Amino acid sequence: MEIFNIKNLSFKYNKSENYALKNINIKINRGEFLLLIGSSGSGKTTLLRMLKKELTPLGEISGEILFNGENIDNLSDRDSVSKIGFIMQDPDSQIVTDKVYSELAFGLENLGCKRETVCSKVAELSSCFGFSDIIEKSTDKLSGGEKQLLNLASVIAMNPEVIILDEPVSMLDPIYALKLINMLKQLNDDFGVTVIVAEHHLQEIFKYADRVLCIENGGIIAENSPRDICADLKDSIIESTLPIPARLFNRLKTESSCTITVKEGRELLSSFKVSDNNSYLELKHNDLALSCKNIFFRYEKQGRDILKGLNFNIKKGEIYALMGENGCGKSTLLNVINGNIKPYRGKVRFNSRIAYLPQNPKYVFTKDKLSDDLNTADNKNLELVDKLELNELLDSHPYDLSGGELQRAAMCKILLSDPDIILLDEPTKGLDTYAKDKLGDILRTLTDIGKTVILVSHDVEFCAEYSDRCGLLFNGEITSEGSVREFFGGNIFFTTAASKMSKGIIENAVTIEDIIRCIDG
Amino acid sequence: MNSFKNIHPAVSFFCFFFIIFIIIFSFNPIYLIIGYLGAFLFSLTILDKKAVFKSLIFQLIIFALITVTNPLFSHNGATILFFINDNRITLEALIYGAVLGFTVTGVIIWFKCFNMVFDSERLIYLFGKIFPSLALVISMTLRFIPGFIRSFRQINTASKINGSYRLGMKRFLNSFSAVITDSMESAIITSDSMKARGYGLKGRTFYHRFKFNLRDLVYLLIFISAFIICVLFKTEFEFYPNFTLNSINVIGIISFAVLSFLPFIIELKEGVKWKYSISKI
Amino acid sequence: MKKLILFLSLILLLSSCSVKSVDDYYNEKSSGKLTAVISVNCKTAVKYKNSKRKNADILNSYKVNFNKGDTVFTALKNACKDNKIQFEYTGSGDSLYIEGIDYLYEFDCGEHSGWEYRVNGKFPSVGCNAYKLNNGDKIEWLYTCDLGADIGNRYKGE
Repeated sequence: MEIFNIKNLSFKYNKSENYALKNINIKINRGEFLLLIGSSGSGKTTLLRMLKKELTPLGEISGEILFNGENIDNLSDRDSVSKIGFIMQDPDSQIVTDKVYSELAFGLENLGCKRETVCSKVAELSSCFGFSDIIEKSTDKLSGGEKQLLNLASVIAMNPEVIILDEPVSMLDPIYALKLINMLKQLNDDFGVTVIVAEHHLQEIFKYADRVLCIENGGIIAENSPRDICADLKDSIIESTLPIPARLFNRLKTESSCTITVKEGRELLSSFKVSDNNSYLELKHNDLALSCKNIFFRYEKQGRDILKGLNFNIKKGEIYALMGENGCGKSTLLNVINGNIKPYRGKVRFNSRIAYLPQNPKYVFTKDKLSDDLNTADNKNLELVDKLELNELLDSHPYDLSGGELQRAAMCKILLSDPDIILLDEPTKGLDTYAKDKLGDILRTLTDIGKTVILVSHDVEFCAEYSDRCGLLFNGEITSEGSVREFFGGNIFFTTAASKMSKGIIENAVTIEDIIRCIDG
Repeated sequence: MNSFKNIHPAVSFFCFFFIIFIIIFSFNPIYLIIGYLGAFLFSLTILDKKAVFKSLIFQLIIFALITVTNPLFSHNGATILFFINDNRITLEALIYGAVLGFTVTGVIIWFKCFNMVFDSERLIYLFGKIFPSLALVISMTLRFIPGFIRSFRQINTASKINGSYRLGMKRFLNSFSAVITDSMESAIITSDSMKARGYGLKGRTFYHRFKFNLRDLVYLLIFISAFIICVLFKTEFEFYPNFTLNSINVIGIISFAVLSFLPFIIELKEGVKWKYSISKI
Repeated sequence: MKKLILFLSLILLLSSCSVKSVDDYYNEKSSGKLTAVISVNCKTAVKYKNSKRKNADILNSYKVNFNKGDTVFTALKNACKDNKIQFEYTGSGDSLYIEGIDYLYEFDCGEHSGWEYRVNGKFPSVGCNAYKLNNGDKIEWLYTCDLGADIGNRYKGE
């Protein structure tokens, strides 16, 4: 039996001319794991919000949504709250209260549960989610990943039949993203909770889905099992978001069924004849742009050293990607370089202008209109606006832009001062593949005209694709460093999907292009 | 191991309330000395020793300041020390100032202890029992403030480094208005999240992690009776024109000593128990 | 710079203070060419319930010296100094106000109690430091427990 039955659903926002959703028909089965994909602005979020009546946006609705065979509008408030759980993208803003335990209890309190019931539920959840150590912590002190897990747990506390998640992992680091996805899988497998999730980051989640739905321009363009949808989406704009093994499959001429995991990808590759034709043109950068010597830093007098004896040289014109796990001091290092915090020993040397893009790009905007922030009265600035394709957005409020647009606008803003070195803190966080590629192209154009880029990221695929050199920060030092191919080719675990698939078959291939080149040749 | 903390918040709140009430309104040097000693020993057990002594220096300065200031403004008292601008500076006024200063330092140190014991959870519980909706507001405020400060710092840093505003004040204002916009933006998400999780449904309950047991009842009775005895059996002083002890009441003094040393004794007892059980292992 | 200003103002403040020992203060006798007769009386306070005060006459028809232009306050100050009587005032200029004489303070005998003065049998409606004395004036400082009603100066309201 289906838990949701969506019939001829169309929706138009109040102030908009176009339909955000057009004639959607879906049946979602009880216990299903449904994955929703589509580029930003395709209508995924709108569709998900239609399923939870508390969050339904204002606008013109036609068609109907049945929940357990009953119109969702007739569902009682109490049932709607407890049976349908909803999790949004931003881990931080969804948290209501100041302590972990009170956050877990929040929904149950609203439902009017007795103290004893809440007590046992909180205890059960915290042991299930591994919160025992953080249960008394302030929610403010949690990492982004912990926050999102907490959001999931506090929705699960109400024992929902279905949970709806709107890009739940796009703001998380890979370790917590994996944790959250595995948790979803477990909830789905063991407890029969129906999972409906919209996501851009498909590498891990894709294989768990029972069915994948692709939405473009408010309509469903493809609907199939994960394995089969890859072929359906071949050559569409959404293809680039598919997992690397599936994209590789689409590039190769083969009759076998689609590969969606790294393991399958490896098996597929080994059936091909490969030539060892991987000589890469590696640009050599010689002039030193910035150097850090023997940097020591700690936040508190009695605290531990975050950076200890760090040495670090950046050449002019290169894109340097700094990687490492959460809390290893990557962002701290950027703050030391930009002069925001002072190391207690050691020196940072450079003689050029620095620009800095914080993790949340909207933090560079302080005005109500993009054109004010970018100072477009100046013709020189207009040229840059043009280059970054921001012309049509100039009248909007910076906070109304989509993730990719905001990122571009923020880039434009920091480039106004004509810096020589650009520091980026997690620039791909929350971006879809399309926006990432656009960002990568911008970075490339910048280095072509002699600028230097230092970026901090968890995004292995992006760094492999666009950076020149990579370094791993661990325990306050840079422990390994090298050109992209040395770095990822040398790593076994901390590397790209393409590298994992081709290990032992093709040497030092870190992107799909690397693999294809060897096979075609 | 913090065992005074394990007492039910309502009970420990009454304990603090009674002690601070008596310290403020008794204006009695004997009570003040007892109350201060109790707080000092208690703070040594629950606070970092360094923090206690740091606060001690601060309290000494306050105490000295009030003691010296009072005779400059009050010229009552028979024992004249000297004249300043034809106004007498008297020993009695000095003593009065010292008692006043000691009252203030006593209140400071007890409030320090109160702060240690009453974390946000206990505070929210107390308010939540009286005004349930206020409890959520406090909790949300405590959640909001650190995030607000952090966002402000990040915005300020970003505009400082990227050199949009040379002037500190202008940058500050711009960052401030930006952080307001930012927090309104995230408030929309928060309110969505609250709605989605049923805020506004009828019959919201209040979850807390405290249980009222027999031990709490015993302590509560001790605190209340000690307080009542203190109020009934007063020891009275007269400061002007001569400092005189009018009546001394041992029962009142003893019961106040019980009240103000109990937190320390409870703490100490638990510490000894803990050591004993460790030695058995 | 800030510290220097603070330091200098502190020095200035200290230098404006004259410090005298008890003997020095009481050994200088008040002088003046003119004289007035001053009495300080608190019989209302003696009668007040639970009062510990025994003697009503704090000062009885004392002949005090003063200079031309001096006020009732100056006369009280001189008289108290001559007789080693404690008194305390607050404020300055026309709004100067006597809080207590001989350890007897306002509000000691209920919320309507305090000191009032009478010159030649009349209660002036100005502060004691605003009333200029003439030679031979008769000053009486009277303690009231009832806003003046018990000493013949009924409070007439605003």
